[in-house]
Amino acid sequence: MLALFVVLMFAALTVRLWYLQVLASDDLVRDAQNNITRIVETDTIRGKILTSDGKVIVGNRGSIEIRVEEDKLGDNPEAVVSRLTRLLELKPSAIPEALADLRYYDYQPVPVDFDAPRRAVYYIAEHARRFPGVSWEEVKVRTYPMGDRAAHILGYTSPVYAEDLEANKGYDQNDVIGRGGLEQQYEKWLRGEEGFIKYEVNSAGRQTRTLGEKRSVPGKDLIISIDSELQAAAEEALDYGMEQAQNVFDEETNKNLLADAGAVVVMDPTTGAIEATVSRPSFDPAEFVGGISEKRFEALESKRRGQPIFNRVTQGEYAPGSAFKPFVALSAIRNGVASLGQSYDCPPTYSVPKDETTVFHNWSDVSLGFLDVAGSLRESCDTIYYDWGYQFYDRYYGTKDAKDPAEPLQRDLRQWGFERPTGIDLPTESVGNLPDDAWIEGLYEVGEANFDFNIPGDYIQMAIGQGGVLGTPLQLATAYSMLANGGKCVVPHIGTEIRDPNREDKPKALQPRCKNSRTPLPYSQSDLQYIRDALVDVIREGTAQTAFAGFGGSIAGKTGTSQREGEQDFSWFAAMTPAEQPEHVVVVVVEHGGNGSETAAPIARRIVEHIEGIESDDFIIGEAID
Amino acid sequence: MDIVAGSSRAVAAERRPIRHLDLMLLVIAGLLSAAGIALIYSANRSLAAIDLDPTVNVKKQIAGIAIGVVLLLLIVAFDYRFLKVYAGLFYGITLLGLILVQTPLGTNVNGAQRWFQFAGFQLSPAEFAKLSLIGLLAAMFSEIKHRDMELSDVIRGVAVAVPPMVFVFIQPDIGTSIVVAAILVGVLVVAGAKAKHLIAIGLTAVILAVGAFQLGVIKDYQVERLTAFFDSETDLAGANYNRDQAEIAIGAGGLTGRGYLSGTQTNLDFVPEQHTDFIFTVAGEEFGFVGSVGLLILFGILLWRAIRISSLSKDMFGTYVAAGIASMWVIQMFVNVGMVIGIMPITGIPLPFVSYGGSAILTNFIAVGLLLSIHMRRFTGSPR
Repeated sequence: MLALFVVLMFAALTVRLWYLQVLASDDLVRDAQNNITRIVETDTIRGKILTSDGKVIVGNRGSIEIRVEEDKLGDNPEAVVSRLTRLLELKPSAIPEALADLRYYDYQPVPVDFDAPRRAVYYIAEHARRFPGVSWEEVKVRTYPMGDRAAHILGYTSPVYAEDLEANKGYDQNDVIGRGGLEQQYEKWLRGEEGFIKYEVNSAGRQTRTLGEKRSVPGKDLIISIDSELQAAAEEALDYGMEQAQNVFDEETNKNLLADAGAVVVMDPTTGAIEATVSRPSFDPAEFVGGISEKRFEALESKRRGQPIFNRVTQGEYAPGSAFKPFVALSAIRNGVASLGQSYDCPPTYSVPKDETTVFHNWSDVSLGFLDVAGSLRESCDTIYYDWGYQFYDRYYGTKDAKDPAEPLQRDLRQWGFERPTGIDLPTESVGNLPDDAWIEGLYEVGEANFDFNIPGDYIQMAIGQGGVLGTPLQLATAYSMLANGGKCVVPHIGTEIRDPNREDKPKALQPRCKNSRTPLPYSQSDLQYIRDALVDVIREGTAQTAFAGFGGSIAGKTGTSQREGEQDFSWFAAMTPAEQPEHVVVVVVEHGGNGSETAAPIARRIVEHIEGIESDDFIIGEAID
Repeated sequence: MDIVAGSSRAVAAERRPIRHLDLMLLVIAGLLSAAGIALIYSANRSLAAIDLDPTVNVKKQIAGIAIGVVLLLLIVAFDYRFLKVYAGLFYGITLLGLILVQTPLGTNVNGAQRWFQFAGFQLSPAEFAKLSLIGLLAAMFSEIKHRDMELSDVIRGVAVAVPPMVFVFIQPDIGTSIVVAAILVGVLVVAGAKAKHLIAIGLTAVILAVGAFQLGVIKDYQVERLTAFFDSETDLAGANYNRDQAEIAIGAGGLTGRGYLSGTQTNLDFVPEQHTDFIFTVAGEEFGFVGSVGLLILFGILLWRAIRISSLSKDMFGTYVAAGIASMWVIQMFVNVGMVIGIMPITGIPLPFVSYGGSAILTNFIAVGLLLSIHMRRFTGSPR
C-alpha cells in the first residue's frame, strides 16, 4: 500500500513537472524575464518649432512638477493635502480638483502644480515623512517666445491620459503627448525617443547590474512656413481692421459693425506653403503649459466668448459670397452657360423663370447695364450669376434624362477644392458644403427643406456663394492659389522641414502631394488669365476701387459679402499679388464686418503692402459695395 | 546471546553484518546530499551581492552531513534494536525538547519558536521527535503478536503521536505536524490497522481541525496560506507569491534547464527560502525537467530501498521503523515538491537530504543508519 502511494505520488509529480517545464515553459520563461528586469526611462526633449525665418515660436524650458499619489497619502490625507496646498500657495480647491480629474488612474501620480519653487521642493524633501505620496520631477514644458503669435496652429502638449495609452502605442503614463495643431500633427518627429536604462534587479528591487542602455534621442525641430514678420503684420492688420470696422455705422442693423471675429490666411500659391495664419479672437498658448483647467478650456471653446480657441482659418465654415464668383464664372464658361464674347444684362432684380413671384436682388438697386464676364466680376453683379445658377439648375433638373450623377457646377467647384479637405497638416479641418441633389434630398428627408421650392433657389444662391455654400478661408485661399498658379493643384501646408538639431544632415523636406485632383484643371490658360485680369479690374475700377485708392502695388482680388439671417454681413476679400505672377494669396474674412470692400479689403491691402514693402498707413474703409 | 554454532553462514553474518550493507541506499543518500550542497550553493550565491559569504550555509550543511555520517556509523555499529529498548526514553527526551523550545531557552526565528541555539548550530527538536515517535510506535506495535490490531491499539498510537504533533503545531510548524501525522498513518497501515479504524481517526482529526480553526487556534496567515492554494487569483503578492515565483523558476528551466548557476530566478532571490523549503526550484530552473525528474528518481530509489528493507526485516520492530522512515520521507518529499510545483499548499517542509538544515540532515542520516542497521541484521537474532 505504501508502495502504491509512492508510485501514484511520483506519477503526479512527474506529470506536473512535465506541464510546467515542457508545456507551459515558454510563458514561464517570459515571466522569469520580466521578473528580473526593471526599465528606468530617461527623458527626452521635445523638438522646437521654428518659423521660416529661423525664429523659435515654440521652445522648451524646465519646470518642477509636483505630483501626488492619492492612495499613498497615508492615514490623514487631508492634512497632507492642506500642508502641501499651503506650501505651494495654491487655492484650497486646487489639489482636490486635480486629484478628482478622471483622466488619471487612481494609482497614477497626478500633477498638481508646475513651476513649483525650489525651496518648496527642498522643504518636501527635508520633511518627507510629512508629505507621503508627494513627489516632484523636473519636466520640460513648452515656451512661446512670440507670445500668442499663430496660436491656433501650434497646439499644445499635455500628459498622456489613460485613453491615450489605448490609442497610441509606445507611450507610458509619464509621457507627454502633442494635442491639436502642429504638436499633434508632427508628434512623431517632435517627440523624440525616450531612452532607458535596463537594470537587473533582485526580489527586493535592488539593482544588481546594468543590462543595457539606450540613450534618449531629442525630438527633431519642425520648421514651418510661417514668416514671423508677415505673421505679425497679418495679425496687426486684422486687429487694426476689426478695430476700425467697429467704428463703422451699419445702416441695416442701426448700430456699429461688431467685427468681433475674423481670419486671415496668406499662402504661397505655387507651393501651398502657409505664410501667415490668423484667427480672432485668440488665446495665449502658454495657458496650456502645466495643464489647463477644464473651466478655462470651456471658456476658450465658448461660443458666447467667440470661441477663442477655434481656428477660423481651417474650421470656420462661411458662405464665401461674391469671392466665390470667379469659380462660378469659369464653370459657366466651361459648360457653355456663359461665353466670353457675350454681354449680360445686370438689372437690380432677378425673377426665377417659371416662378415669377420669387425675386432675388442685386446688391445695387440700379441697373448696372450690360456686362461681359469680366464686368460681372468687376461689378460683382449678382443678377447675372443668378441666371447662370438657374441655367445650371435647369440643365440638371429641366429635362427628364439629364440627371448626370455629377452636377457640372458642383463638380467644377469641387475641383477647386470646395467641399473637400484641403489636406493641410493640421489635425482638424472643416470641409464646407456645396448644395447639390444629394444634399437637398438629405435635408428633405429630415424635413428641413421644401423639395420643390428650394432647388432653383439653392442653385441661384450658390452662384453668388450663398445659400447652402460653405467654405473655410483656407479653402478659398487654396482655390485662389490654383487660379493664381495656372490651375495646378496645391496642398496647403505649414510644416516645411524636419531638422535634427544635433546633426548636420540634410533636413527632411516635407512635400505634400496632391491627391484625387485633376491637375492642371481643365481650363485654358487664356481663360484663367482672363479671370485674373478681371480681378485686377476689381481693384482698379471695380468694387474694391475705393479701398485700394492710392495703392502702389500690383494686385488682383475679389470682394465678398455674405449674409446670414439676422446678423450683420460678413466681409471677405481674396487677393493675389503681384497680379502678373502671383506669389502670395491673401484671404481675409471678418465676421460682422460689413461689406467686403469695407473691412476685409483694407485689411488685405495692409498685408499686401507689408509683403511688397510699401510704406503706408492708409486704411481706407471702402465704399459699402459687395 | 545465543549464537548458533555450526551455522557458519549465520555466524559470518553475525560477525560481519557489514557484508549485508545496503550500499545502494548509502550511495543514494550520498548523491542526494551532494545535490543538496550544490543546490544550496547556487541558491545562496546572490548573498555575495550584499557582501555576505555565499558559502556559509554550504559549509554548515557539509558540517551537518559530516556529523550525520558519524551518527550513521555509530548506529550501524550498534544493533538497531537498542532503540526498541530506549524508545520511550528517546520519545520523552524529544517531547521535553519540544516543550522547552517554547520557553526562553528556545530561539525565535521569523516568528517561529523552533530552535535551540547551540554552538553556532540551531537544533530543532521537532526533527528528532519524528524519529523518536517512529521508534516508540514501532516498539508498541511490534509487541502486538498473533492478533489483529484493535481500536485500542490504534488509539494508543494516536495518543503517543498527538503530543509531538500539538507541540510542533504551536511552534508553529504545520508542515512537521503533517509529517508526524503521516508517520502515524504509515506505521498504522503497515502494522495492519483496520480501514474502519483509520477512517474513524481521520474523521475525528477533521472535526478537531475544523474546531481548531473555529476557535482561532490556527493563525490567520496559516489559514491564508492553505486557502490561497485553492484561490490562485487572489493576493499574488501575498500568500501566492512564493508559489508563483517557484512555478516561474521551475517552468523557466524548461526541458534541460538553464545550466548550473545560471538560473536567474535563483540568482536574484526571487524565490524565498530557496535554500531551505524551496530548494527544488533551483534544480528545476538550472537542470530543467531532466534534472527534476532525475532528483525524483533518486528519491524513488531511496524509498524503494526503505520499503524493501521494511519488508525484508526479520522482526516487526525493524519493519515498522523502516516503514515509519519511509512514510516520513514520502510525505516530506511529496509535500515539498508538490508545494513547489503548485499541487500542494505551501507548508514549511524540508526536502530530505537536499534542503539546508542541520537538524534535518542529522535526522535523515540517523534514519539511513537505522535502515542500514535493520538491513544488515536481517539474518541475526535479537541482540539479547
